[in-house]
Amino acid sequence: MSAHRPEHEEAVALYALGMLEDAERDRLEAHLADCDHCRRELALRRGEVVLLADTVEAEEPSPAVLEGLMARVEGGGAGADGDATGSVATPPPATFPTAAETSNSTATRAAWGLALAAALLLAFLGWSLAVQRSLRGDVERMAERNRALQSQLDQRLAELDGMRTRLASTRAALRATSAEPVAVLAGLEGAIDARGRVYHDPATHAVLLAVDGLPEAPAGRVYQLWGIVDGRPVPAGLFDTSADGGGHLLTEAPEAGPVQVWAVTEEPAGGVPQPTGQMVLKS
Amino acid sequence: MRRLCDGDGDAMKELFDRHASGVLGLLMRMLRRRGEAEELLQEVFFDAWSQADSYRPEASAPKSWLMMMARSRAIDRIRSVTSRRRRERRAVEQARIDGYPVELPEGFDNLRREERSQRVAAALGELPEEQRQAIEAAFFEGLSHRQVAEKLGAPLGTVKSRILLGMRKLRKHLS
Repeated sequence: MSAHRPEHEEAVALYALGMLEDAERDRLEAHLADCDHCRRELALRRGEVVLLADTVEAEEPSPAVLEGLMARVEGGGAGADGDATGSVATPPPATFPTAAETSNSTATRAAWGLALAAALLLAFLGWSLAVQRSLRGDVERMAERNRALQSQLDQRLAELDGMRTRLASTRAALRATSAEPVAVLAGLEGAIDARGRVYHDPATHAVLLAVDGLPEAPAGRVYQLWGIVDGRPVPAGLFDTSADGGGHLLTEAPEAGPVQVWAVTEEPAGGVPQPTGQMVLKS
Repeated sequence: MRRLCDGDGDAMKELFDRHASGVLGLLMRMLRRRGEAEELLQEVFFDAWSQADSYRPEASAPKSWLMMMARSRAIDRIRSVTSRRRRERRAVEQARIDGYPVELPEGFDNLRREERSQRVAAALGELPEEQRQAIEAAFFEGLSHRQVAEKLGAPLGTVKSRILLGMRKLRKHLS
């Protein structure tokens, strides 16, 4: 038994972080076996260390992970990390008759020969079954990996599709900017120097709002574009401006119908379904 | 966890739904590759299923248990431990995980993940940069104190002091 010393507490803190090297760790574990004080300290230090894991962003796993897991759980699959692959069963040892048991008769020798052959055959069958099980485990693991990769590929392709769509909209909007704006917005009280232009591409329904002279929205606030259709404001997207007062929004024309008036209000971050804040631009 | 011991597949799904995103976040931070992290995530939960009977509820919460298993497995990957050696180490490492309890600082048991995360991040943010770096290198990269000293280009004694001081301050801010 080793007596408790103050330096054990340092070792306990490093042990909780998994930082001790083998010899130091072995010495501390021997001490922990006898020292209630250090075991209690270790529980507290481990509690603090494990909380560090909470500082990372949570990540949603792809569905294939749970599917693969449940397939293994429900199929009573092999242990983790290729345990099955590494533990190929060896054939059981064959048993041989002793000299005293051996008869001189040919029939007896033949019977022993058959028994030996059967034992060897059984051993071989057992061994080959174990190999098969092991190979099946490998194939299943590769299939799971493949499913996870396929799921990631699908996700990337979906992202690529989204980027293509946005690129097409941007191109359409850029085409539209070569034409005349469909509306010019003037700054109102509080943003009197602000100006805005709305461009519309009827082929793609893309709408581009470009503003300048509009101060950055205060913290926790954002600008929201509205299309007024038959007297009703329809939300058309959120944007903010940079320090130089410039900003733009690429969005789609409201489906409710042709817009008679375009307006911009200042709203809480995340936007609102109906305007609540001060109107800063209006056509 | 008791239901896991009884072979209840629904309990496995519940455990996964509740904790997989947190565990995957840790694995992604440690391994940096999603494919490898997801592969290990499945291993950790399968191990939880296979070894549910070694779990002691009085020693640690399920989340702490899973996080420690995930970190231990990820460190083996980082250190490129061969699969044969991993199998040999696994039982010993699992015994270390199961053998000693984990006691969260007071008041943390019932906090939601976001609240925990904010409080721990705030506590880490209070540490001097070199102490925080040393603790994060140890925890997220699985380095020994000698390896942390090499990585940070600082003497071993200095690194130990930074870690111990940092952990002491962290404890004070968390309590």
